[in-house]
Amino acid sequence: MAETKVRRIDLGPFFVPILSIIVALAVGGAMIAIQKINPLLAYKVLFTTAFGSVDGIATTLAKATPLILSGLAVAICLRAGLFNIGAQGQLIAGALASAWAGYSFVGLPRLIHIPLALLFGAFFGALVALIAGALKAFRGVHEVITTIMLNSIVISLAEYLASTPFKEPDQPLTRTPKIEDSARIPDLLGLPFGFFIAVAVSIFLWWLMRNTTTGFRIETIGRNKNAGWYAGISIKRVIILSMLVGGAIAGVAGAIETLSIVGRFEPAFNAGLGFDGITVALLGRANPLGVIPAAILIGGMRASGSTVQFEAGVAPEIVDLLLALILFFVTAPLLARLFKKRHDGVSLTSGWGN
Amino acid sequence: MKIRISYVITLAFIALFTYFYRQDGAIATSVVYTAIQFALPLALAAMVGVMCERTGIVNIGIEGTMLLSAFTAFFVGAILKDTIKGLIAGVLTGVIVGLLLALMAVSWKMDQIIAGVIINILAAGLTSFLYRQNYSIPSTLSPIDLPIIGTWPIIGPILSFHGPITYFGIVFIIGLWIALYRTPWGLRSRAVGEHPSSADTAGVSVTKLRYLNVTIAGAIGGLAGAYLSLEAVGIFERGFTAGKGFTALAIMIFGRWNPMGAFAAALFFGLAQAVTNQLMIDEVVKIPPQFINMLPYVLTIIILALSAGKVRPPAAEGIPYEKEKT
Amino acid sequence: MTHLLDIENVTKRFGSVLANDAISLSVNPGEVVALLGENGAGKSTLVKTVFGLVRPDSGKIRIKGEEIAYGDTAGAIAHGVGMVHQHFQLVPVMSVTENLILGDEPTSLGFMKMKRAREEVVRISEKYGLEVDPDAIIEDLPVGMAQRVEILKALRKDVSLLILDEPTAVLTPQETDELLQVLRNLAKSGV
Repeated sequence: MAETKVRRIDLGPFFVPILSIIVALAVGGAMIAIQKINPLLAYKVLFTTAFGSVDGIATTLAKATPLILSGLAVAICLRAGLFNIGAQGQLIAGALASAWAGYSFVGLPRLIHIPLALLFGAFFGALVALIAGALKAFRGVHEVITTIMLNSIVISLAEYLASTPFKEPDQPLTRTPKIEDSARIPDLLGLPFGFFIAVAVSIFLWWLMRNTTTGFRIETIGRNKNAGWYAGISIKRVIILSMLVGGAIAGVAGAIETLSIVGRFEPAFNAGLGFDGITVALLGRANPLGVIPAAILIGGMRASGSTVQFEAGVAPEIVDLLLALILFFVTAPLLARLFKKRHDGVSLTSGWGN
Repeated sequence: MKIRISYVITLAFIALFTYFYRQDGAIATSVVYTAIQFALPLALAAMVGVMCERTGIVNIGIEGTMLLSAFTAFFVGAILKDTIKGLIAGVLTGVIVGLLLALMAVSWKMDQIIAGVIINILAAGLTSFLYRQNYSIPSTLSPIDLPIIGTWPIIGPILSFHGPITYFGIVFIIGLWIALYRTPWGLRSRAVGEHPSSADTAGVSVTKLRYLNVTIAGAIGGLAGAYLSLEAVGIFERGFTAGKGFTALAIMIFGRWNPMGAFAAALFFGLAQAVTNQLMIDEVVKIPPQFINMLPYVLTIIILALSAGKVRPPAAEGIPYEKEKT
Repeated sequence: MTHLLDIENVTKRFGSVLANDAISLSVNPGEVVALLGENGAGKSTLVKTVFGLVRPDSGKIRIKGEEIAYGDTAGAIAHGVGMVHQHFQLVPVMSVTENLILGDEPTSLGFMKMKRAREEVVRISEKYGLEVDPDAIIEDLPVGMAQRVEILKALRKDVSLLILDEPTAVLTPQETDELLQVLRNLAKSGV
C-alpha cells in the first residue's frame, strides 16, 4: 500500500520571521505613505542610521544589549510554558539595585565593584520575578496578570525610592546619585562591553537548554506539564527556577544599562524595553541564540528612531507600530500556513488554574 | 442557617456607610458615587472577560481593546465635533478587535495568550503612532438626572447623575447575568466553555457561538474604552488605560466568572480607590503619591492570590476546539 | 424493502492509516447489530461517519433511502440518528436536566423553562425505563448512571437509529446486562 507523502516546502526556520518582517514593513509603509511621506526614504534612513556607520553600529549594539537580555528573560520562561511579561519590572528593579550598589560602595576595585553591582541587579530582578513565580507555583495564579501588575508596582516603587530615600541630594530631579567610576562598565574596542556579556549569557543559556538536565526539565514542563510530572519532575520547582532565571537575566539587563550607559537610576529611562523583550523573544522563536539577531534588528530600529523623525519627518513611534506589526505577522499562523510549515509552536499555559 | 460571605460583606458595608454618613453625609455619598465611577469601566471590562472565558476563549487583550476604543472614541468625537459619533466609533472599534481575536483564537487556533498580548502591543503601537496633541471633544457625555430615584435621600446622590454609559452598563450587567443562566444562549455558551464537544454533538455550532460571544464582548470592551475617554474624563493620553484591562481579569476571577460576582468585585475595587482618594484629599493619612498609584495593582495581586487556585475556571478555556478529536 | 441504514463503500483514511476500507453494511428497523473488532479496527470511525462527526473520503450513507450530507451532526440528528459516545458527551458541571435539554431547550419568551424541562426528563426516563435524577450533577454520578443520561440524550429526539460506540467498555458486568436489556426493549419498540 503506497504511502502518500505530503509535500512540504521546508524553507528553514528563518523564512517565516523574515517574511513577516517584509510584510510588516509593507503594511507600515502604507501607513507612512498615508501621511504623504515616502516610506522607502524612511526605511533607508532607518537602515543607514542603524548599520551604516561604525558609530551607528556601536549605538545599535548598545541598544541591542538590554534587548538580548530581556528577550532571553522572556524566552527562557516561554520554554517552561510561562509568559513573563514582567521583564520590564524586573529590569527596573535590577537597574535601581545596581545603581544603589554603584554609588553606595566607595573605594572598591573595578574587578569587584562591577560584578557586585551586576549581582545586585540580578538578585533584585529575580526577587521580583519570584513573587510571580511563587504565586503561580503555589496558588496557581496566572503569571500574565501578576507580572504585569508587578511591572506597575515596581515602576511606582522605584520612582518613590529615587525621589526620597535614594535621591541625589541638592538637586530637584528624581534620580539617584551617580555611580562610582569603579562601577562603570567600559567599552571594548569601541563597542559596548555589555553586548559581549549579553551574547555570553545567551550562549550559556543555549548550552544549558541543550545539554543539561535542568534545561531538559524546563523543556519538558513547557511542552507537557503532566508528562513531566509523571516523569518525576517537580513542576513547582521548574516554574520557580525559570522565573528566577528570567528575572535575574532581566535584572542584569537593567544593571548593564545603568552601569554602562546611564550611570545612575532615572525613572523612565527605558520605557518599553521590557515589552520589546517579548517581541525579541517571539521573533527569535524563544531560542536563546535566535534572540540575538532579533535584538540587533530591533535595537537598530530603536537607535534610529529619532533620526527618522529628523530626516524623514515620520514620528519616532513608527518603530512601535512596525514592531507591533512584525510581532503580529510572526505569531499569526497566516504566513506559516501558506507554506504548510510545521509551526514551531511555543505553547503557553492558558487558563487560570493549575 | 448558612452564613454567606456576601451577606456578611454587604452588612459590613452598610454598617460602615451608616457610620460615616453620620459623620459627614455629603462626603460619604460622594465617596460611594465616585466608587461607582471608578468601578464601571472595570465592571464592563470584566464582563468582556466573562463572556469570552465562559465560552472558552481566554481574552488577555481587554486592555488593548479598551485603549484602542478610547482612542478612536476620543479622536472621532474630536474631529467630527460629535461625542455621540465618537461613542459609536469606540464601540465599533471594540467589535473589530473582538472579531480579530475570534479569528486568531477560533479559526487560526493560535495560542490565546499570545493573541491577546499581540492585540495589546498592536493597540499600544497604533495609538502611540497616531496620537496627536491639541485635540478636544466638544463635551463629555452629559450626566443624567434620574427622574424618581434622583430625589430619594442617600440613594439619590449615589445613583443619580451618572452618564448614559454607566446606566446602560448596569442594565447590561444585570441582563448578562440573567441571560447567562436563564436562556438557551447562556446554557449553550457555558456548555461550549466547559465541554465543547457535548455542545457540538447536541447540534450547537461551537465556532459560531464563540465568534458571536467574542464579538459582542468586544463591543462591550469598546464601550468601556469609550467610557474612559468620553464619559469619565474628556481626554485621551498615551497609555491611558493604565492596566485596567488586566485588573478586570482579576475581578472576573474574583467574581468566579459570574457577572454579578464580578460586578460586586468591581464595586469593591472602586470603593477602595474612592476611599483612598478621599483620605488623600483630607490628608488624613500622609502617603507618598507613588504608593497611591500602586494600590490598584497591589490589590489586584492580593485578590488573585486569595482566590485563584480555589476557583475553577470554565474547563475548556484556552483550548482551541477541533472537531475530529472526539 | 428500504433499509433503515445503508453504508455503501465508505472509505476513510487518517494520514497513512486506512481506517475504513470500502465498507458496506445495511441495518433494518428493529435490528440490533453489533460490530466486533480489535482495537484500532476502525469501528469507532465507521459509526462516527454515520453520525456526521467524521467525513468519509468516499462512499455513500443512506438513512431510510435518503443520502445524507457528511460531517454534519445536526443533519444526522434531523434524520433520526442518535449516538451514544464512548467518551460521554456530557458537561460534567451541569445537571442531568441541563445536559439533556442542551441544543433543544424548552423556552417561553426567550427564557428557559426549567420546570418543563425537568418534567420532560422524568417523562422520557420513564418511557425508556432509564431512571435518572434530573437534578444530579453529572460529575457526581457513577459511570453507569452517566451512561443512562448519555443514552437518554440520544433518545430524546425522535430516533429511529441509535448508535452506541463501545458502550460496555466502562461498565461492570451487571451494568452490561442491564444495558443489553435496555437495548432489547428499545429494539422491540422499533428503534
